Amino acid sequence: MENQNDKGIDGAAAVQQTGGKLLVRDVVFLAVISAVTLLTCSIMPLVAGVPLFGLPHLVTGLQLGLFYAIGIMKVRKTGALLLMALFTGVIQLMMAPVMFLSNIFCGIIIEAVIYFTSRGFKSTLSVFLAAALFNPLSLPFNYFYNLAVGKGNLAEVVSSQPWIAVLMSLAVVTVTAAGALAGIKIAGELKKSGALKR
Amino acid sequence: MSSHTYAKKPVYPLLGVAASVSVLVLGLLFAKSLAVFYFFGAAWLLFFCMGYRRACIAVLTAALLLGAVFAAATYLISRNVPAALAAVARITAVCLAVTPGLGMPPSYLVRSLSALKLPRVLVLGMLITFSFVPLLRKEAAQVREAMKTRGAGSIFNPSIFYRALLIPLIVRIASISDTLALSVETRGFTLDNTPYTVYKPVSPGAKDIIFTAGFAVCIVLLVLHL
Repeated sequence: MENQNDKGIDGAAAVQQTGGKLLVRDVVFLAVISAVTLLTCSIMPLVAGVPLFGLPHLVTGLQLGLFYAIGIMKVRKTGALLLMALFTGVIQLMMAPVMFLSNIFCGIIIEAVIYFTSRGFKSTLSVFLAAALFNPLSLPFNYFYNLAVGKGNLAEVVSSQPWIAVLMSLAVVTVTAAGALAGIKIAGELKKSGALKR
Repeated sequence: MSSHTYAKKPVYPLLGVAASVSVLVLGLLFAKSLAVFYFFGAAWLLFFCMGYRRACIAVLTAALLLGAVFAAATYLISRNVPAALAAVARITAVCLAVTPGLGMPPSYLVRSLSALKLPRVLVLGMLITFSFVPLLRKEAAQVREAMKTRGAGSIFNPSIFYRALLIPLIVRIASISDTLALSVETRGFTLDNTPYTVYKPVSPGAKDIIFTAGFAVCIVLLVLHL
């Protein structure tokens, strides 16, 4: 994350130019990125039935981190992450309702945290944190949902072998963070080349 | 999501979403009961009769294939037939729940959401997300074709994957997004609260009542059987 200050100023300037309000082109880009994220995460249903805590999050971590980081790097406005979470969540509603609820929950929490700590996605660090935390934050949500719905297998695995849950959680955090870093790098390169306009 | 699987006259979109969620939640809740397979059969027939024929056939193929894989894997690990059947029930629930989504044209969903006066940000975003998935498949195939033409090498090589596939794909996505945004803006689409009308508004009809009644019967029979 070199030239963090420079990129931070760029982000702030971009927000200032548009008054921080989401425009049609922002919504279109976020929707397109959501579709890409959704398609690249389509491997998830294949592992959803495996009773290993965090496996679906692990196989989707890289894509979520990468594309959400690109989305926020282009649209550095409050609500960008929540919108992407909502667009992907609505389609997931028909395949996994928990993913919809989890997306909304994580989106709201991260947007609030980023807003109150750094007043939006002005710095690259806030972009990284938002993209890297989104996926791991849904792990506890998923655990409590499985307890509540009675899909006991997963909750039993976590209780009987907590070290596996801890290792899987660490793996999810690492993979998502790697994805977010890659996304920031790609977005930076594309901005320099002019392919990703603000 | 492909135009090949769209139904000509799908059920009211929100009912379709409710049916999806019900199939999935009930399928997961009652995965250990054999009665759930009768429920799946009845729900599949109902979807088929309601016009989701192509989506039903696509889903059936996927469910049979994935069900066989999951059953074999679970049985090999646990040597337990009920556990294998529960795994099949879970994957079938996921596959069957996708049927209304596969058979519903995005414009139909958007019209019904517009009629409900949902924020335009959401309606526009959902329309694009739904419509872009099939387009993206074509774009990815084109980028891969271009890689082959250039003799770029295997995509399993990380540096080739990054330079020759990922970057061109994202550049293409950004370009399509800009064109799409320009197209939307030049047609006067705005995100503010100006009043608007809906072209061919979608509202529930007699077919939807029949669908709801049939689906309710399936749910009641599943619950009573237990």
